[in-house]
Amino acid sequence: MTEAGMPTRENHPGAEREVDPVTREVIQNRLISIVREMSVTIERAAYSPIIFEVKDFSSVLLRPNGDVVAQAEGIPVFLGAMQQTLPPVLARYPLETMRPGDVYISNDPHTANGTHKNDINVLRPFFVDGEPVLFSANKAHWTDIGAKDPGSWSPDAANTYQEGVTVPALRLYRDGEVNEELLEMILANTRLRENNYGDFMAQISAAHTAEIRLQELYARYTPQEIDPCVDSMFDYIEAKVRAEVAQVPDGTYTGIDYVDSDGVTDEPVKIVVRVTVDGSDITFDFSDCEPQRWGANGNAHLVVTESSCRVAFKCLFGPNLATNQGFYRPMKIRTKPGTVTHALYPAPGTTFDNISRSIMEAIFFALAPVIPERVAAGIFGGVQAMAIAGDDPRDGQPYIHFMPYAGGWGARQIKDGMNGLCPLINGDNYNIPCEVTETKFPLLVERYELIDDSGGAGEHRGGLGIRIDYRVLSENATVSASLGRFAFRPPGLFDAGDGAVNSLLLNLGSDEEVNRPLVGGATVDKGSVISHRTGGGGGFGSARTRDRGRVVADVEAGYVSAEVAVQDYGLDPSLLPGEADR
Amino acid sequence: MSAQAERLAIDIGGTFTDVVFGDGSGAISTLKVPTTPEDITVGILAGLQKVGAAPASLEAFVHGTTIALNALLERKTPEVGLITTSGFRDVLEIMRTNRSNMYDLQQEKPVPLVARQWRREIGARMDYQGRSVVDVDSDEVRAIARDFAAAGIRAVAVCLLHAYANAEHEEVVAAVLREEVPAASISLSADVSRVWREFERTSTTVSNAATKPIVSTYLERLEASLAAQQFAGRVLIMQSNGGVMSAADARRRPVATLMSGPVGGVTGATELARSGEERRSFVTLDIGGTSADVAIIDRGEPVTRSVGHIGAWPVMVPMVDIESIGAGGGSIARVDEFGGLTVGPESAGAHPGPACYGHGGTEATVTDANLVLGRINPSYFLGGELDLDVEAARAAIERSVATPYGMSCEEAAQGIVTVINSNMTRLLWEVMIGRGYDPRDFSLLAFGGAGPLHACELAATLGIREVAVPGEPGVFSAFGILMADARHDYERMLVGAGPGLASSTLEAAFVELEDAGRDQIEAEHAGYGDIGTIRGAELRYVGQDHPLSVELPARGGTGEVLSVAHGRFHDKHERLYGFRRDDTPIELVRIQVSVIGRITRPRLPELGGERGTGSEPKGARPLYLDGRFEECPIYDRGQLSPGGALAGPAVVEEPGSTAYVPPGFRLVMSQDGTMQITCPAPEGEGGEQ
Repeated sequence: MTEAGMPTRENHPGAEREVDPVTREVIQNRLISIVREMSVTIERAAYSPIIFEVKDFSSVLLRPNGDVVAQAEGIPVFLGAMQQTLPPVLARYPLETMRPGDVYISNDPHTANGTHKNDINVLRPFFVDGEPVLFSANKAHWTDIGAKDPGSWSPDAANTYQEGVTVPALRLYRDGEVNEELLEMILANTRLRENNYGDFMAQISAAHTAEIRLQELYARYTPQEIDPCVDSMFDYIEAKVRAEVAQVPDGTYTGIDYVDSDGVTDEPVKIVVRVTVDGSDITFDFSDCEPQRWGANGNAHLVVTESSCRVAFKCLFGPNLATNQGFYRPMKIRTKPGTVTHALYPAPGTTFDNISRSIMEAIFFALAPVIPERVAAGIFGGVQAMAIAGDDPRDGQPYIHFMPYAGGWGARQIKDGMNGLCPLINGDNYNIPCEVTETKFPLLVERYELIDDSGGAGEHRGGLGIRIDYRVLSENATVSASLGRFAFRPPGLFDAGDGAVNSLLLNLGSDEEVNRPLVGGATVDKGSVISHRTGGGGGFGSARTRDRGRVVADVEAGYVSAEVAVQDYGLDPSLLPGEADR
Repeated sequence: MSAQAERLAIDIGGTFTDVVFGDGSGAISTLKVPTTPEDITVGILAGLQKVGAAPASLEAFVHGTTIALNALLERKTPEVGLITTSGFRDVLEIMRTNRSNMYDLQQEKPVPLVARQWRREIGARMDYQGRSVVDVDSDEVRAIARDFAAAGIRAVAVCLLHAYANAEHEEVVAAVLREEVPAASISLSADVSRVWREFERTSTTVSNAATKPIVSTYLERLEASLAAQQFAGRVLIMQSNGGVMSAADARRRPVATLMSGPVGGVTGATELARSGEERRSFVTLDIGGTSADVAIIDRGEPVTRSVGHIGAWPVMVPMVDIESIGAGGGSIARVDEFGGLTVGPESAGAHPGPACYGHGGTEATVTDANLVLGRINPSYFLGGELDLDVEAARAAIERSVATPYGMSCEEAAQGIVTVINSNMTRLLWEVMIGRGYDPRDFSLLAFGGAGPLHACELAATLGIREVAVPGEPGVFSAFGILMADARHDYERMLVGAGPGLASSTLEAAFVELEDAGRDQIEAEHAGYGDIGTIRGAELRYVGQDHPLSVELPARGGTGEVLSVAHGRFHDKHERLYGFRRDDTPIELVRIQVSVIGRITRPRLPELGGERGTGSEPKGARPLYLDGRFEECPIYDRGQLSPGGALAGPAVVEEPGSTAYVPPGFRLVMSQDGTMQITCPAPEGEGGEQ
């Protein structure tokens, strides 16, 4: 282990006091309060459950050079997916041409570093004495952005044009005045104009909030006071995260994972990562990945690969550390343009979550042999999202029920995997309660339960997936979904069993029952049942070594059946619950 | 009820039980006795005797209890059986599927209060409008009841889908259960939380079922002990909503008491906010040894919310909206190996306590810092009951903070106070600004032992113009309990009605809830003359997800109820989010009614002129200000007479608390004994270099 890269200034806290640690703490508190308030504003004023419940948005403060000063991310995959949105804006509108009250908008993955078309970026410069010193930026997922299918969630989109309206980095407000024509042009290309307008206003409201709070902050402190504190915050976080990385033995470790399909062909997509640890530096190299695909489920744009690596990095080395530019300094990413982890124009990539999940887990699997205590076995999947759309017979209005779905988590070195929890890509996001679904949508929820025996067997068992059955109560409804891991099971680690796969059954219980885990705009009949079933997590360690009392308890609760307990766990049948009484 | 009614309030803390006695004539006496954790009633009876109250002449014994909360936190609850809708037994375990700690691969999901094998399903089904799709099959319920009985399960929760819209199925299930297992204690979701969201409602119902037997046993013991002392009045229990409930009601709905711990202070603040001619707005700041609690009183009404959490488990009942962080006198200051300074949330608590207590604590705490800065009097802590060791405080700060940074001890102490203030500023910021309240419209009401020490600097940072410190801030929570009214909250979902809701339908829904509430208050709290009601509603623009709640005029108020509601919603939306959409239809999601049985208030004591000779300091000592010590006046609060004024820098001492008045602040003693401190023109972060 080497100390290379450790900043000397921070090694001895009292050695050189360039920045008062107290003022730094105070300014950090203020900056975090500001990004949190931006997020609260978006969340509360938003129209769409995907923003309010799923928290598919993020707020950040950036320096003009793109450094992340503070970030409040609603979901992990937006970690580090914000700062890349600024350079394309500056390329078209040089800093010196910007004025207070300007607002910039974008979504294009190819020219504006957008994550996917649904994610609308709103950026606003903040000026002190005529100089732009910071940008507030926020990103929110609009429920529909045009595209070939309602909800713009098409795993089988063949190019970027099938994924919705393209918004390059453009100026939407000048001196506080909105460009109505541009806004109307964007909204007119979406299916839920009113909803989207409401969500957009929430984003503008957040930018306005940041402006006011920054004015207050800069009325108290000058940029000459704040800037060194921000630099020092970066150094502090960098030192902390480097100390964690330095605990991993030096070396190069390879991880492989698969995405079942690119959405158009049945050819699985292989993700290969070589992770090199050198002292406190870490490199994620994806150069060996295959050429990009022509299906949206098979590609990640570079920004998605970057953010996925950052999520994996944070999970392993600093889950509770503040997120700023210093956090990212120890990590480097290598990709090859034109591959599935760096897809180029006009590649599709809207359902990037499956590739994103695969990137994160390939990193975990690569490092599992050397840091088993920090990883988890295979997780059930990506966001497993599904959009059910149609016209509500109660008022004739169109509806889109869109939600990511939870499933079973991988077991850990000393713990079982968790049952029914949202995936790695999502974070503090909430399911839509069944009572809310039935009230707001023409859907009847007939079943919402854990799937017994879906967790991978192991010394520590994988978590269980969830089954939810919807009876459709409207005519001519359509379904789009992008379930991952329907062919490749979530892998167990260290001789454990794999978790169960995911499935999406349409027309459940009828002659037309069919499994369509990747589907874009399939029609479903009124009265038919859609059964969405998520996979279970992989196990950890050999099932034969699991504590017998815990196997019996799992059987008593029904998480594991008697058959599986005997076959996979090797439980002596006489120990099965009820057997002792006979 | 007699105007001379005697009333006794008890607030049980971890270390002390606070007792406040109002004899009805305007005299209020307070004292602290040690809490007796092995049998809380021992401490209560000791307090009763010591304060000099004659049990036989007490009209009411008002009691804040955390017995249900502690049972849940410690998981010392009986086995519970749950009956729910077919296909939904795992709702309690799936929870809302969110991961609040987003990057932690090693986290664990909490274990539900009901084991999976005791979560049973029945085929009965309501639709979202409360229409029965499948009726209850009694035999199915009977079979489950027998299983529960055979397993010795006596606590049963029933939570069926859409029971908030129609409780009929749950009531049928309860009838069968009672027949089959007469000894069972039954909790229905429609009785404890009549609101949608099946997970939250199930969690609430299960929490109620689990704590019912515990609360019943406790109240029986308490009532027996009091009866043995010839007490014949009412036993009243504090609820999370800031009002009291009867002991009988507390046995039925212990879930309503869960968040009542810090609520006394808010009730006291509400009382003060209403005591003048004009209703005032306060943000309350209660700082003790380990935590700081913050709440908002908006023009005389405490701000409430509809759900709180016990650990990870939601409890969906109306409650005063109180936010807390780990920041108090005992908060520990440390410099980590990378040069970062943290203060709290870890606390030295009461044992060993701050280094200056001399009880073996060696870590530097906020109290140690305040002592080094001269803000606390080492020989007048708790009225002189505990001598503080200044050298021990200095040594701890030297070692933990000053030496690592190469600072002086005073600089380090100043840094500790600045960081803890910054943490509390963030909390106040999120509670006020984050919820759309402008600090300039509020006074900061500071209490608890350490609240008045930090309040002025926090107020200045946030742009709050005035700090108020009530009389006896150390026992202000118990004072609030003494002043609590009887209160019941009712809610109904109306979301199914959509935007086409008629004003007459809405009025009828309000009247129905108000009549039910009035009946309940009269049945449980006979003799309460004045019954008031508060109406509220949650609304949103059609298509929007998150509703906003607004208060509405009481029955017979001016204006047609629906248009008033719409107007207030537009205004609030604009205030919070900066825009309104007057042309968009509005949907009413739910209505809320609070029915309040007002007690005859014990009169508040007034300060007489004979109390003091004006505002002469009792002495002087050096305070650390702006990088050096400066000799500053020290005042005895008991010697300040009404109208007496003083200017900072100064310290005002009293037995249970100390107020720090920084330079530029002016303090005036008001007639009711509250200290009013005016802030200088707003500036940035308080206490900063």
